[in-house]
Amino acid sequence: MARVKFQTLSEQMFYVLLCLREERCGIDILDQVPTMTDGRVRVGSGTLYNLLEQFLDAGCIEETRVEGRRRSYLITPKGQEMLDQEYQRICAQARDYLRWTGEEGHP
Amino acid sequence: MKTRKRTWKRIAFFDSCETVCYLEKKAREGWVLEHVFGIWWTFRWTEPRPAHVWISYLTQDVYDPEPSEKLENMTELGEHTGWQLTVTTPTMQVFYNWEQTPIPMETDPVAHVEGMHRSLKQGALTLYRVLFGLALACLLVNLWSLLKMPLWALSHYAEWMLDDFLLFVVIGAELIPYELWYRKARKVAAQGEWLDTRPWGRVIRWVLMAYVILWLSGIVVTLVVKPWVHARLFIVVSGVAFAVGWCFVLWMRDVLRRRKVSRGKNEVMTAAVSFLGVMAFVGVMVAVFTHWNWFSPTSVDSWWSQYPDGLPLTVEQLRGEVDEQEFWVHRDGEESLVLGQYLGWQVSERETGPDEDMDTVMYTVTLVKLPALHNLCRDTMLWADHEAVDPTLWLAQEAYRETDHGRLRTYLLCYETCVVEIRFGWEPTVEQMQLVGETFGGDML
Repeated sequence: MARVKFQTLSEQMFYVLLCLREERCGIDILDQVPTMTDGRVRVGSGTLYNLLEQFLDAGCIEETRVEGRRRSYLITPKGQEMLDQEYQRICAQARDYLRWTGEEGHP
Repeated sequence: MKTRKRTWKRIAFFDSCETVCYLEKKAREGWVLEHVFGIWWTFRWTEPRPAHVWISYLTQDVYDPEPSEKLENMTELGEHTGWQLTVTTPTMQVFYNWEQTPIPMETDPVAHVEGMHRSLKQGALTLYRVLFGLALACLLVNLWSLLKMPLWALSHYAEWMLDDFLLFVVIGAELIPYELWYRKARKVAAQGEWLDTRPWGRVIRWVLMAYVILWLSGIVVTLVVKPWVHARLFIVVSGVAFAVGWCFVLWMRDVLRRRKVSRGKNEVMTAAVSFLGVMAFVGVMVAVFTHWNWFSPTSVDSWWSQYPDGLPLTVEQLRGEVDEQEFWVHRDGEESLVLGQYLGWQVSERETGPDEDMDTVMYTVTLVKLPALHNLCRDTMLWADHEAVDPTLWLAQEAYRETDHGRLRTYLLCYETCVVEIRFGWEPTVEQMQLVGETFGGDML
């Protein structure tokens, strides 16, 4: 079944929102996400474009500055709430994992 | 050596996978896409090497030479990771990346599917949905006509109805595969997977190919069928002229846009050329209708032209000598591939009393080209109040008489190749019945 929009966030969505806790432009986000994840997560430029458009439509981020072709964004309270919910969900998953597999991570 | 080549390629409007595979293959052969106009793709020669290609579907203003803000935004982001915008059309953008292992432009299937759907909704998808709605409306109107007025519909518009149906299938074949792909792609993307567009895009290609073959065959068959060959030939030629004119206007608009002509000037010039083209087209149509008479029942290749006196059967032929009087003569008709209906009237303008005979004969000849339609023609033309009469007098297979009649004696006669409804202003004699049979009983096709 298709996921309800933004009910859970993909990794790319999560890290884009996390980046936008500070005002950043698109190119900064493309560089920042691999830095935050030690290269584990990379966001494609087309994906970033689509995510920024969708987050703007959903009111999760807002455009703060336009300098020529460069646009900067910042997360909104609604976006922050979504990020917090996703964090809680990930933590709950991690707790369930530890509970059922033992603290060392083995069954 | 050739440094440019042009080829035609028809890919479904959403089939990005097919487009990417095709362009990556061309790049390995040394050809990079330079320009796209409709189904015409222009490539320029370069060093053969592997390339990664990506397609986006941002809608662009068809007149504005400058890219939209959204496209500029995407281009800047793409350039940061090595993706160069190479070709842009009003509906599609092509990015090339020459690195060995670049970061793909799309890394999140959910964002990709939703982004693609959002872009297509602003362009091709909305257009196809509107066209599909219109085609469905035409189909329903045609079905209604077939149910309510089958003979009129089949004799006047059989080919057009078939064309409407085929267009409905073609537009549906463009739209429905996308809608099915999108629904499945969303579910698959939720699991982090990508759904190839090519199986759905292939459906469209096959349907389009079948449509073109059927359409061309239909034109050939239609041209072979008489009468009014000139009229049908004109319809085909004018259709081709209209399509060529339309393509010319689109090409001119595209050239102006690529030459960075301002939006305002482009709009004005395109509108002016379109207007002149339409005027010229209408002028030719009017000339054909009024001057050359190609669509008239009296034209030289119509069904009527085989009767030098104008009507197959006249009052004088039936009754012999008649009193000197004025007649109103009318003939009309239409014919399709499956059915023809022709009306012939000779009505006396002399005033007569209610119990007197009138020198009037009126008939409707329905040519049955498809034997399976014979019973439909008879049943549709038969009146509620009727009785069967001896068909042998009329040299017919079946004959009926309307019992509830006014001053006209009305008969329905079924022959092998036609069904005739004939009305007399007098009670016909056996000799006159036989003459009717000899006139209409032969091969009328």
